[in-house]
Amino acid sequence: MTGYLLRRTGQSFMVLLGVSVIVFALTHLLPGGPARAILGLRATPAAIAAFNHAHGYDKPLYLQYVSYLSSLVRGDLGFSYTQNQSVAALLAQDVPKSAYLSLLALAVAIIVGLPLGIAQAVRRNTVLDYTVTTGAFLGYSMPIFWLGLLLITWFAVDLSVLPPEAPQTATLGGALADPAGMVLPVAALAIVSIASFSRFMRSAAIENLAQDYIRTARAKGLPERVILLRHLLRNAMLPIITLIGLSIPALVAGNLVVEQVFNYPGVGLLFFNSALRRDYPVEIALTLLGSALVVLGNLVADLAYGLADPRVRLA
Amino acid sequence: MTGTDLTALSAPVGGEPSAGGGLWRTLGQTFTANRLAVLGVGLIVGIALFCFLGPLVYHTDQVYTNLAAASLPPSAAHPLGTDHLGYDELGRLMAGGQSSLEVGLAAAVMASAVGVLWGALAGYVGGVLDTVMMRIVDVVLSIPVLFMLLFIATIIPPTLGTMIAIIALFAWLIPARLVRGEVLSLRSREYVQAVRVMGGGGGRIVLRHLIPNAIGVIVVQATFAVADSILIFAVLSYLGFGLSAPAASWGEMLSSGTAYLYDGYWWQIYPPGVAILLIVLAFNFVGDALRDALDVRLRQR
Amino acid sequence: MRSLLEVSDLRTDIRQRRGTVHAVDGVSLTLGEGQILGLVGESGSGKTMTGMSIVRLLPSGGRLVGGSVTLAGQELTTLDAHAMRRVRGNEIGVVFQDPMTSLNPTMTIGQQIAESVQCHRGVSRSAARARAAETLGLVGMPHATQRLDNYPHQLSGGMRQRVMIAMALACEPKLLIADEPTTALDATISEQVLELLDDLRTRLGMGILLITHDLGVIARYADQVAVMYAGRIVETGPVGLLFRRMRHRYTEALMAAVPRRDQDTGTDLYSIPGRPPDLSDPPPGCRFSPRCRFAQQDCRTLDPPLTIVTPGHQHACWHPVDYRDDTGPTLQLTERSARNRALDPQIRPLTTPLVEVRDLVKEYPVTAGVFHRRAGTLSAVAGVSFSLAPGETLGLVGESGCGKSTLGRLLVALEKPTSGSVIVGGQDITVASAHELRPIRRDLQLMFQDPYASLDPRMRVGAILREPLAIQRIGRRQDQDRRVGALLGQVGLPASAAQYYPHEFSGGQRQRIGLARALALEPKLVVADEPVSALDVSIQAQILNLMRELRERLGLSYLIISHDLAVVRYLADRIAVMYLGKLVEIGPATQVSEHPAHPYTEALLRAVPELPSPSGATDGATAVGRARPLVSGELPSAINPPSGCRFRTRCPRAQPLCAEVEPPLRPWGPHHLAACHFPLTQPASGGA
Repeated sequence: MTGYLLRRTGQSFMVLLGVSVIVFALTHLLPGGPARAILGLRATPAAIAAFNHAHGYDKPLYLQYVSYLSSLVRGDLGFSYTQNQSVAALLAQDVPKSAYLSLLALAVAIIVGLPLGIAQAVRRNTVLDYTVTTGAFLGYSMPIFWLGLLLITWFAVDLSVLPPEAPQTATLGGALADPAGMVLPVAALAIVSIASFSRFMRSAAIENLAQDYIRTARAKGLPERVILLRHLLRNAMLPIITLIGLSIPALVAGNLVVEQVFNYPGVGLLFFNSALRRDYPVEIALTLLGSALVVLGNLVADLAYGLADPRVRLA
Repeated sequence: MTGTDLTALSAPVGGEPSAGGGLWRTLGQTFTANRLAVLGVGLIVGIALFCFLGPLVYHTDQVYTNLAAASLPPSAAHPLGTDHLGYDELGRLMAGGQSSLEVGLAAAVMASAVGVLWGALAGYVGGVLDTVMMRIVDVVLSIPVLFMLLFIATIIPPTLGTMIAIIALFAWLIPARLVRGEVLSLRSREYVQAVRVMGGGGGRIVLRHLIPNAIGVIVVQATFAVADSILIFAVLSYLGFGLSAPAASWGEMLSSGTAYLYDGYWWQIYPPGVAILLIVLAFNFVGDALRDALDVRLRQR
Repeated sequence: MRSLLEVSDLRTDIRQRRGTVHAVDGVSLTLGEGQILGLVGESGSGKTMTGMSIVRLLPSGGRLVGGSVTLAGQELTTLDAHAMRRVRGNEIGVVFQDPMTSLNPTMTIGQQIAESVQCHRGVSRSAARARAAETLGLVGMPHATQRLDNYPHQLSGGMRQRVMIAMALACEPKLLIADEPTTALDATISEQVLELLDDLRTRLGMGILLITHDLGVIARYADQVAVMYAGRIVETGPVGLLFRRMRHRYTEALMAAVPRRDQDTGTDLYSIPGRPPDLSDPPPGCRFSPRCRFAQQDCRTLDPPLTIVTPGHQHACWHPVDYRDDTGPTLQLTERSARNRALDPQIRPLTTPLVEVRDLVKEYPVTAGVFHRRAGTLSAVAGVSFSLAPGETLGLVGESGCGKSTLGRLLVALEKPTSGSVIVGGQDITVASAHELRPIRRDLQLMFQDPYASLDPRMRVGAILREPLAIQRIGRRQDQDRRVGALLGQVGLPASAAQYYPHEFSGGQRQRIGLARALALEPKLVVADEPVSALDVSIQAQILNLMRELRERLGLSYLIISHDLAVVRYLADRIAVMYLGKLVEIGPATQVSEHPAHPYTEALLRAVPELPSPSGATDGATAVGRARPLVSGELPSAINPPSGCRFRTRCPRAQPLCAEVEPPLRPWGPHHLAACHFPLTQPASGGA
């Protein structure tokens, strides 16, 4: 297991390094390079040359990459000229709020989606199964922004039971203090994940129910409840761990859209606004951050899988 | 009864094959037996007819704005009302559908083609090349697609062509991974070994055996890729990074409708949303049914 | 003897999309305390479904529709689900075929054994664990208490099956249902497990319902036997009686289809034509009648009832085997013209070998750790030499992992050896380039085990058979098509088969197609890797007969790779025995099988239960080679094989010398070689 852990961590590190190369390359693909991006379209050639020299952009590319990496390692993510703040400071403000929204949605999706899937597998081809399947199809075919708009129309405009906007606050504390404002954004984000989680759990559970060891458990005369909880759940959960890890990119993307729809001041909205303002340093830093999150999520999922599966743990 | 006589060998003692039919036929039967699949195909055909033939019957002006007729509710003249610029919603729905279908299909086809070649090459050659090619896929796959797309959309001026290209740029990764896995497993099949024992070369193995056997997986994947591409295109358009006006798209229609959420202009919120939902749903139905049909074939052994 | 289990007129239906399958159709059985009842039949005969109906563990769609099952006087079919659950695991234990998939991979074996004790006995966790350790000890698991915390994947196949048995026995059931308990295991391991079951029923006084397709296993271990065909019992009786005085024509045909030790390899195996009926629409009358060579008009219209021959021996046949003139079974097998033994040991050395294998070694690197550093070497084939004469058939036997399949693949140049050479027609194919190999490949073809995986599902049979001709550019399209037709005829398939896809054929038919493909290039040698092990006995006989016929017509050589000694002995002129990558013995088939020199060869021979001869040459079924298993323990890993003689860790005759010096392969008799320091027989010519 330690060997596996080291190898897997090393792999993640290599992937992150690859991401940094791509992101670095992107800054140089920008029309006019980083100087044009930062100084704006009306900058004079002289100003650009001066900027390039001052920031070392006239050095060979590999040297630039090395200095880019070393500044990353020091925690220097760049500077947002449109907001006149370091990117790190912007992130420190917004990351907790986005994490709050995403984790809440993920928790809801797991708590609702997985039992739904198991119930479907056990009561296969019943009204319950068909209903949830239909819902799941609708859920993952639905554009998340439209779902958000519908939720606002129904619950904020027509029924007026919930606020149409997420909490407008600079701090996480503000978001925590306004649970009603979080209901619709969390719901929008969770519904899409519930659809895919329940669908996946259903097929994992059906597959495991057909396995020989379930028949063995029945042959032992165990009560059906014990078979489900002790034998089925443990094995069917294994692929779900990986699925949750793999769902992080979708969650990050969904986060961006939901924050835009509900005007929730997290990193998603920050990215959206930066994209509108062509604030490249922020966009680049956030892309890197998002990738790191995805890599980390997959790593954690794989390690959790390894811990949960004795065939990997004791290999 | 005597032992089988040598001269009697011409009589088929092994018996006749059972009734069945070609693979495509069994596949087709399983597919058409699935009601959702038929519904999906029906929806796709219906929506395509509506978008591409509809404008020939129902003439509207989708180029010049008419602010005098802005945000009119549905009436005889405008069955689905008008939007904030006075465009007829029904006509705009048709025009927007064209771009959605075009982007979705073209991006999926491009992405699948690249992904199949990439994955097949990595899987068949194996070794260092495989490792390098798959690490590249891992790296690109770990960058959140939407971030990357928004980023690129801010650099490159959006047209139908660039839209297709940048969506395809990130949609080939999953097919590549899938096809590689399929090729790896097919490569060690006994019938492929049989070809090697006969003296058959790599070209024959890839063209006659690996690709025909992997085609099912590829088609299923491509179908889902259409659904995903349409959704991504809708998101980009909704966020304002899609085609520039007066080009229409369903995402952009929703985006402009958002401003009037409180005014009760439901005709600007429901039709484009339902349209996206239906077309994505249709491709998902078809993809799911195709996958089930393939599974059934595999289970029939 | 008290009756333990009474099944009468049991009927089970399985509803499927295409219709209702009457999987069990009026089955009656009786099993006494402390007895083993063997339930034998081919796949699809309903034998497993009968066992599962008794414990009511039916697949979805399955339902008991009639009959009764009583266990020690208690009726089971009327019990509600809850009461039935108290019977399962408590009064009836079940052992399934595949111990790998039948154990939960994420729970320790201790937990898995203990949970049934906790469930049925209501004892504490620690008491249940103690009972689990006790049961594990009972089934012969070494260091039982430490093993409790192991997961299934940490145990070998044989040990896993012992765990399955321990699980079934934990609550001391009255009845054990063992469904193909050793089919997934190697011969020597299978013998150990069967001996264990036999021993346990005596010690615990429980009854065992032994479900198997293997007549030899039944003959050696069962007291009573019931033969199933198409959802019905066709004949039942005491083992000794049934094997020597079988009455039903199906029983007779089934036994004649199994290759025997004393069988002259010049005779055909009896092969049952056709295949078993579709149980959703069974034929009227006797269900075997469409395949029976003795069927008459009444068989096809009237259902034969079970008729009592002697108390306890019943059959359901209108025209049973007649013993009145005491000539034994009337089903006589024709003598073929005795095989022209161009391979007579005395003559053969004069011919130049077709294939010569010299010091062949194949090793695979085993990697581990962060940087995939090389952690060891798996020695699959470790210095094997032999030669094969034109027209000769060599049988290669050994347990799984002994390297026999790797050797076969090396011979047809599917893999490159680590060292050594394979010389075909004067050319070393291990160093030949792909271009040089191409023409040589015509002479060396491979026939695969799995009739499902070996044919490309996307190609019609015609295209599959044409492919080798196209690759080797033989003939024009019309010639190729004509050749395809001829090939299909040779393997007993109609020419129209070329138009169909592989999935439209049965397993036996597919194996015929596989053979036809191997023959398309008119090879001199066909390497057949387990050619019949995926097939039922009656189909297996068809393929073996076909292979033998074609050999004689076409002058082929075969290398038959198999774990099944009976198959090898039936086809082979010479037999080679492999153990952990080494050739331990090679020699003329009769010599090796009747006077083996190597203890491992003897162990393999003794581990495989034989059918008693139908002529009654041996008295009683259990008299056949019934002794304690010769080999204990499990096959060691090929990654770090034992020093000296690789077999020494399991050998009953091993001495210190065996660990130090590797015994060389030395001559024993004419063409007979063996590698052993302390052999069972001494070299004939004193050449040691």
